[in-house]
Parts: sequence; C-alpha cells; structure tokens
Amino acid sequence: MQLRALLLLLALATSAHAEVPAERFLAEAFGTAPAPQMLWLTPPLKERAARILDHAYAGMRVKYWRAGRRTAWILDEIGKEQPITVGILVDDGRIARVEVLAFRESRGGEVRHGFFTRQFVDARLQAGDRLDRQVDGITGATLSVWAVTRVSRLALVFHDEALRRD
Amino acid sequence: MPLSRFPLLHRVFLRRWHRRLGIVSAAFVIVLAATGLLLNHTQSLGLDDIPLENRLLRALYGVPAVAPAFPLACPRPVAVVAAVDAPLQLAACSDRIALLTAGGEIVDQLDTARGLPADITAVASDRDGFLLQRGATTFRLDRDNFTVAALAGAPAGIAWQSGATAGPDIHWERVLLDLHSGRLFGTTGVVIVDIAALLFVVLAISGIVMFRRRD
Repeated sequence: MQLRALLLLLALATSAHAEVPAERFLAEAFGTAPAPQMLWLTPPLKERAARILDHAYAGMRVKYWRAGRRTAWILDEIGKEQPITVGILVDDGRIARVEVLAFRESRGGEVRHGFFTRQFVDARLQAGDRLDRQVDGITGATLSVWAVTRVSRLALVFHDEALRRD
Repeated sequence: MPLSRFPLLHRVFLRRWHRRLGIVSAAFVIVLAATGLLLNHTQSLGLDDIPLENRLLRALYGVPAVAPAFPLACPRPVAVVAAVDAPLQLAACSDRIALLTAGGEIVDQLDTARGLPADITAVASDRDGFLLQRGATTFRLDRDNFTVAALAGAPAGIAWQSGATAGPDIHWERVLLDLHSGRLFGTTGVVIVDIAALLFVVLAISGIVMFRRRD
C-alpha cells in the first residue's frame, strides 16, 4: 500500500512537470521567455507565405516572442501526412537555431537530429524568399526536409515583417 | 427425354422464350455478377473505407450532398462551440484546438507541443470566452495570447460540449450491397431483384430441358 502511494505520488509529480517542448525551446532561447506577441498576416504577407509553403498559411495571425532583434517562432508544416512542429530562433535576420519540437510522422524523423538542423544556422533570406544556402536532403525523409526548410524560410520572412512593423 | 416426346410447337416456344428471358435478364446478370465480384474483395479493395461522394447516390440515401466534416483533421474530435461575445468559434480535438472565424477561417491554433493540455474532453463558451475541460480540470483560453490556464474550479452553469464526430458517412461497400440486393431502390428494387432471381431459375430449368432434348 505504501509503495503504491509512493509510486502514485511519483507519477503525479512527474506528470505535473511534464516538459512542454515550446516552453523549453523558449527558455533556452531567452532565459525568461518574453510575453508573446501576435503578427497579423496582411494579404501581401499571406501571399508571400503561400509562395513559400505552396499552400495557404493556415491562420490569420502568428504568435512570436521577441527580445530586442531576436525573435522566436513556432510553426507547423505537414511532412507527408502529419504536421511537424518546428521552433526557429532568428537573430537580426539570420537563423540562430532550428529545432523540431514535435514529429508525428512514422518516417523521416532524421530531421530532428543536429546534423540536419545545424545546416540552417546563420542562414539568411535572399531574393525570392529563398535561403542563402543549399540544405542537404536526407534519403527517405524528403518531405520532412522540405517542411522544415519551408518553415525556416517563413520564420525569416515573419521576422523581417515583425521588426519592420516596429 | 427423347426428342419425339416434344411437339415441335413446344420446342419453338421454349427456345424463343428462353432467348427472350435471357436478353431481359442479361443486364441483371451483369450487375449482380459485377457487384458480387466486388463484394467478394471488399477488404482488399478498401471499399469499406472509400466514402461515397456521388451526389445522386447520396441523395438516394437521403444524406447531405457533402459528407459532414469536422473543421480540424484529428483522430479524436471533441466539439465546436461558438463564442458568446464575438463572431468566433473554437474547434477542439483531444490534442489540438483552433480559433475560427464565424465563417470557418482559421485564426490561430494550439496543440500539446505548445502547451495545450493533452486529452481535452469537452469545451464550452461563456461571456468571458472559451473553456476547456480535461477530466476534472477546467482551463480558460486566453484568446489574445492563445494560451490556457487552469482554473481553481469550473464556473457554474457551464454547458459543456463534447462527443463530436466527423459524421456518419456512406461507403462504397454499402452501396454495392444495396445494389446487389436491390435495396438501393427501396422495396421496388428488392422486388425487381427477386423477379430477376426467379428469371434465372426459369432460364436454368429451360436451359437444362433444351440441353436434355438433344439426347
């Protein structure tokens, strides 16, 4: 009986502090995460987003966190069938960090690893809202690679827009 | 039975009517054979998974022309509730919610990766906004920041909504079964298929008789 109570307490304690990927990402990015802000998508911004994603952006606003010229974005994009949640940290127009926060597909999970996401560090936007570098693909994970690449481009676009509106 | 036992008139009559009934029943034979063949392979063809989208056939079943759809693609939909104070709706799945305009356009989304509690079981709307329920815990949704916070207790008089489904739908297996049996066209269709079955029996018998008379 005492053992059961102890195990129950342990389970409750663990569940109460279950990590939320986004919160951890923001804590690592800012220390103390700033209050979130909303970037409302204007028609031109929606068009840019649609060109990057190859489909309409599913939302009228995007939540982001900002401290100075650093912004953090948490965006979803469908890989093959399920959304991949990606955290992107942007520092003054260049990507500081990309992390896959939630991967729900059955295949293509290699995009979660550092060897892939490190390719995006220091990436900037160039003409046509494209990255200034070629991102190496992963065999068997093409759709996941495309998804992460697209949201990274999108985050840079949103970052520029958020700073411009200030 | 020897040929001589059949008067010529009867043989001609038999052959003529066998031919006529054969032509009449040909269409039924084709339909029943085709539907039967498909029904024999329902699972491998996935016919019990393919929804019926043909509007005419859906009208025969008396269902809406377009299958009712939950606004979000999720394995466990919960409910959609309208805001009391604004032209907004909240669509909730067990692990994801979306704020929608009255017209159904997505404003914002929140899932468990971003802090939404997992296993949402019900949603509600009051004059202060939207509420979510997970077990005995009630959460208030902040529409501006799109975050949720647990409440000490549920407000009184809340009408919780849950149990949404994507809506019952018709699949092609059902259509084939009903076509095979004639039920697709109601009692008339059943009677017609019964008559066709009797026709097949008559054809079989007449065919056997004509075959035997060649002895």
